[in-house]
Amino acid sequence: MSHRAKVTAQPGQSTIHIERLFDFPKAKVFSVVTNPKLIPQWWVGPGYTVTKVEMDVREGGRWCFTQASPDGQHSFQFFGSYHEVSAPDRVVQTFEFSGLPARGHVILEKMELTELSPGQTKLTVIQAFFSVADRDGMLQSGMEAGMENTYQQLEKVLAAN
Amino acid sequence: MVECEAQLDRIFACLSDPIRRDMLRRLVSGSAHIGQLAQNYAISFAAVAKHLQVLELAQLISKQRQGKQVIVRIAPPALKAASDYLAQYEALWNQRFDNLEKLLQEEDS
Repeated sequence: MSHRAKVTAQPGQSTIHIERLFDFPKAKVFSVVTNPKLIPQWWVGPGYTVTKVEMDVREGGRWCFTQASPDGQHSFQFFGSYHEVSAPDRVVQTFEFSGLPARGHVILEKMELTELSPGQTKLTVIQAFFSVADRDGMLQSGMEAGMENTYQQLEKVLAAN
Repeated sequence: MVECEAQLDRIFACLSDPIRRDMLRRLVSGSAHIGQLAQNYAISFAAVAKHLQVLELAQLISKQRQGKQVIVRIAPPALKAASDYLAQYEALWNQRFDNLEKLLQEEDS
């Protein structure tokens, strides 16, 4: 069976760590994760599919994934810009979600690939939020199924903080 | 469900305060009596008690009287609601990475 992802969020810290092993060389993993044509096939949900991908994978370039609900009623974007692109080792980018009631909740995301042995690569993503409340609000809102519900929930959390 | 959401709001509101986060961090490594806990902060004992009250309302901690002392300990069941979201986030990434692995295998063949 395949490897499992490990996701950790320490109480009181504003980061999320994501880690996963792949039995493939680093260069190959890098080329697949930075290939815009392949994004809709793996970068899913929750409950939504990517309908449009823009990726200008170079430093200063912009990326934008559009997702739509199954009924096509709602669509929203995940977007940001590339700060560092060091193939095949590292990508540092910003990340923002258009579905939030306010701008300014930006995440800094670092993806690193480490070849542990020939043909085995560890993929690590660190997501750094501005605050613990931002991080927990994202975790909570991101995992809610319906978008309307998400807006309401998020507004409440933001108001409470 | 509504009650559960209200509870989550309280938890996230609680965690937005640095002193309350610090209190929780200390309590994770073991229970403490209020006096011990208060020594860590340059705020009044009343302010410490107030923070503890907020934490208790969100069911993040529980208090228990032991003789003259009040012992404070972390209450894991309330934290579970927050960790459930983390588990769902992990499930989402597992789904993404499993898809990615399939693509890598297809590229290979």
